[in-house]
Parts: sequence; C-alpha cells; structure tokens
Amino acid sequence: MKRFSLYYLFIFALLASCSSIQESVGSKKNNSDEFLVEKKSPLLMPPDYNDLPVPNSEDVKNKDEDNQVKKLITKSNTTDNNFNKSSNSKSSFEELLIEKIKN
Amino acid sequence: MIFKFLSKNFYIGFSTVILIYFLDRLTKIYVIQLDKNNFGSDIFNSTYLNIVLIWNKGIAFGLFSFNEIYLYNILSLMILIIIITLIVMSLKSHRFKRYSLLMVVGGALGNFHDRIFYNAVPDFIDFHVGEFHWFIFNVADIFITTGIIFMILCEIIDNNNKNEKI
Repeated sequence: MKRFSLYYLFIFALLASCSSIQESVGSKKNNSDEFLVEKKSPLLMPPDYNDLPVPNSEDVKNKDEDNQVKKLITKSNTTDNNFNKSSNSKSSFEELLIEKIKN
Repeated sequence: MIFKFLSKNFYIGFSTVILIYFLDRLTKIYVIQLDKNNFGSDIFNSTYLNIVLIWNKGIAFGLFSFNEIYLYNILSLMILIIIITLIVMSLKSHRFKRYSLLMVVGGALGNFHDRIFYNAVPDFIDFHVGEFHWFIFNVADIFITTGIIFMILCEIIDNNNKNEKI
C-alpha cells in the first residue's frame, strides 16, 4: 500500500504544476552577474565649455537683436512678394477683361 | 479490441476528460487575458484569495525549473509517458478508480498543453491566511490533486477489504 501511495505521489509531483509564492514575489529571480557590468568613463567637462555664452550676457542680447532684425526683413520680403503676386494677378485679370470688351 | 473500449462507459470517460481539459483551458485563457489587460499586476485581491498569474517552468512546488531546453524536454517526455500510462490504466480499471484516473488525465493534459505551447504552466490561484501563502495552483492542479487523493483512498479501501477476507 505504501509503495502505491509513493507511486501516486510521484505522479502528482510530475503532473501538477503548483509553484511557491517566492517565485511570484521574485526572490528566486536570476540576478545579473555584477562582473559583466561595464564601467562607464568618468564625467568630464567639455573642452570649450568656457567659450559658451552666459545667459543674459551682452553677446546673447546682440544676437537676439540681430535675429529679430533678420526676421523683420524676411517677413517684409515675403509680404512684398505676396503683394507683387496679387498685383500681377490683378493686372492679368484686367488685361483679360479689356481684351474681352474689345472683342 | 478497439470496439471493446467504444462502449457507453468509454464515451462518459472521454467526455469527462474533455470537460476537465476545456474547463482548465478556459480559465487559463481568461486569466492570461486579464493579466494582459492589467499589465502584469494583481488581477484580484481579497482577504483569503488572490488571483496572480505566474509561470511555472518546473513541476509541482516549483521544482526542477530548468533553463536548459533539453532537460525541460526530458521532463515533458516523462510527463507524456505517465499520461499515456494513466490512460491505459483508466481503460482497464472500473468505477470510482476509473474516474479518479480520468480526473488526473484531464488535468495532466491541460498542464501538458501549456508545457508544449507556452513552455511553462500558468498558475494563478493563491490562497493565503495573512502572510502565510499556500502554493499557487490552477484548475488542472485541483483535478490532479483530487484524483490522486481518490486513488490513494481506493488503494486503502481495497487493502482493507483484502485484509478482512484473509
């Protein structure tokens, strides 16, 4: 009888698939090998760090002003172009009208 | 020889196995889907019962969780041989013992299906009292455990009957 009970317990152990709570919590998790972790190089200051402009300095302000002027110029150019295009279209339309009247 | 097994009892036994197998599959698919929707967090929590999905690559009690594929395949092959042996045993046995064996076969087929298709068995029923947690199991394990308990009971009863006759 004992032999059969052991036989059934062996079958149970192979067929059932219950697992412990430790696995769900993660205590049996495979940790990575600390010797495989590559060391990063230490942090360094960039070579031309001192050449960078400081915020609110005169250089930055001048550059901002330059940019604003450039923007104004480019905007004015675009508006001029648009105006020219519209005037051209108007003139062509007028010409067409005149031609039709003439005919 | 084949027609001998195609009796009424055979169909009842076969449908019992299929019923247990599909009941197990349905619960597993449902829990896996819920786990996907919850992004891997706990599905259900209460005072005595939690539903948490974990994958068991080994056998009972989380034993033999092999990372090596060939050891896992050997284990799966052993399980398949045991399932076939149990099916043959169930065809030869009668009444209560037969249905106990069929319960074990149904559950074992459910777990074996996961071993083949997922390479692990999903467990999700976590009974606990306070901080004490019992092993996490699934529906197939319930049928396997019940079947094994019934089979041991059958052996004890048979043994007692034999002793009384002597």
